[in-house]
Amino acid sequence: MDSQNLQPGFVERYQRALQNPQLQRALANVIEKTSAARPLAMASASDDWERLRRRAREIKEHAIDNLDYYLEQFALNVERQGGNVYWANDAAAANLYITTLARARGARLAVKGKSMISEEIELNHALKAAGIEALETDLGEFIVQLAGERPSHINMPAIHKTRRDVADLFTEKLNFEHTEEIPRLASLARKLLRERFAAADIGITGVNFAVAETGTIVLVENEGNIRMSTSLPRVHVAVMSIEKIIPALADLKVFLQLLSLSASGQKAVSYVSMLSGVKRLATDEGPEEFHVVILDNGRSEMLANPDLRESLYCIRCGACLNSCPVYQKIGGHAYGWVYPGPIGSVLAPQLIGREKTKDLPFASSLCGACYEVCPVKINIPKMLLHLRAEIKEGASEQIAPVSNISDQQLSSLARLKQRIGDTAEHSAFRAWARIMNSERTYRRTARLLRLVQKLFGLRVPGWTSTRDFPPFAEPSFREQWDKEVS
Amino acid sequence: MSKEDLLNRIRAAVGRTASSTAPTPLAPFDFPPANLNQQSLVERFILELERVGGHVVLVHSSEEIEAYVKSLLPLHKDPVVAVSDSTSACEPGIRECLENPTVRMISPRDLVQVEAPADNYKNALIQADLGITSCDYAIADSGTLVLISSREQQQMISLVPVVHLCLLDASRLVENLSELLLELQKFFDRKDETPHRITLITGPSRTADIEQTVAIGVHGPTELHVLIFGLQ
Repeated sequence: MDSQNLQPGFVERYQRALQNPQLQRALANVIEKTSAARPLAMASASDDWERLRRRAREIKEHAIDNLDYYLEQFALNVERQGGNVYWANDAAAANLYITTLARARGARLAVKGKSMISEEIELNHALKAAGIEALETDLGEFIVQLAGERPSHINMPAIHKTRRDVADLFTEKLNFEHTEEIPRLASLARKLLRERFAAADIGITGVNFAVAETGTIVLVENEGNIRMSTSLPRVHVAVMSIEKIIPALADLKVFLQLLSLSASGQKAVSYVSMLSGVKRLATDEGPEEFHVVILDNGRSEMLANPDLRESLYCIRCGACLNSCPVYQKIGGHAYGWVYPGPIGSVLAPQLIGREKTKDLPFASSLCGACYEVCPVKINIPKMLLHLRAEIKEGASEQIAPVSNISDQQLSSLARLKQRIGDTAEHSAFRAWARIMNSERTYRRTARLLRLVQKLFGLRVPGWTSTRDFPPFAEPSFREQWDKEVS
Repeated sequence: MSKEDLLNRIRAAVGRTASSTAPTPLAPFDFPPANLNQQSLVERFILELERVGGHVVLVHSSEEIEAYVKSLLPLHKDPVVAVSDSTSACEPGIRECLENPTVRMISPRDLVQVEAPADNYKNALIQADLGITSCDYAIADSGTLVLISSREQQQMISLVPVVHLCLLDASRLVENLSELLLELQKFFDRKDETPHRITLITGPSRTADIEQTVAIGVHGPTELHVLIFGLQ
């Protein structure tokens, strides 16, 4: 890793993560379970795994290449079936629409299904500021909300927490009895949340897939909190970014399987909800109102970049996180934003700007495990390389419009650092070339380094803080050769 | 206008315009069929659902249904049972054991009451020990039940009570998700009466959010029982 690109925040965060034995144990536990589940999952698919992946990629390419058409079709179908569609350019617009709607309905309590997009736009903050309580109902999200933290994984928000942590949290914040029995903890949460579901005025969810041809949103889960949030309250709001579109109902046969197998090794998740518009009769069960917020928030920029467009194919399964040797050691919080892991390292630079996230594309050994496991065959390593090139070539000039903190202050210092770093790098490579091109210079340099190492030790910034520099051999191979052979 | 702005940005990004022609859909894609007979479908369904913690029993008479329903009623309190308005095929068996003064029955008819029907229905369901529904389809290769809300009110009854009992007509079994979606397509082709909610249920509610350890019954039912009838 090139240390000149590491911002203080990231280094601090990952070092803290590496030195946290509890986090390391939690991560090891997750990795063990997910890697054991993977081969079984792939074997239980209804079709050949590779064939499914190829088809998924094909569908996504087609959908994204014609996104305007399918989005329009989707919206018309939602409206035809009694739903409302709001087109939001950015987070502020989406939050304003939702808080205005909530206020207009006299809402006090919103129950939320797990939604990464709502984390991205910081919807809970906006609701709170508008005087509305936003309660997370997915158990993992409920836990991190109580702890005042961000989720540390796309699907398993609380994997960094032990049962002891959860027990302490429940006792401290909710006055529950102190128990570390996991079924008991789940049942305590269930009891509390059932009352809140019944009292809630609005249910807010994300969207896993939006089917254009039928105007249907598809939501998957294991717990039932999404079904609760979209059945009991009078109003349901679903937030989706533009790339969630798939063209046809039949496409679900590929995506539902790939998502449940890749995300949690399950042949089928416990509940899949397919929602199209709103109920026909007022006396039927279910919400009276259905709203879909279609959100850009920087995706149209991503779309415009052909080298990075495929990052929009992501179905948020989290498999790349589970397989990444970096994520496996540092966990999600070290990445510093909503989306961690390999996909996060590609999304964050595009959504909040290269300048603030320039460490992330370099936090990878390019091993390609993410690419191998990705159900939609997204070539993450290729995009990481592309982002590295952009960052090196000073393309951090392109500030993403969604970033709300000015990059100007960072720019000139960063550029200076960059230039110093570049010069140092060039000099280092020139020196290396000189040494390697001349046998005499090589011998002399090696002998000198060996002496320096014996007397003072050898240090290479960034490398030897966590590795030992192997000792130069004494006598060296060439010295032995000269003695024995010549 | 937000909509046009957004769509125009997308068009510019992908090289299309407002007057671009509709894209040619992709060629169809199908799983290899296995062509199972009803017996094999039933066997597969039982295998898959039991694997994820569901209970499945074959029934041949309304007496058997009655006995099973009775076995699910709590002993330590007066039972509260919700029955959807579509369990018509097996009504005899269910009616018998619910025609009991200690059993409080909730049904979607309660939704058409005059006073605060939705709230009362909700609160009543939260007290329910057992919810009985039928299903529209079932998927054999994953042990999945399919509930389509067209005319029947089954969604909350299959979700809120602690135990969910589902009556499955064996003729409604399909092999896999691909086949199911073909069936669902027919519902959506009737443009004016599309089902606003379709739910796929596979096993009881679960979570692995704490230390990756599975806990059953988080928000949805803790137990799922399926009675299969109508076998040839």
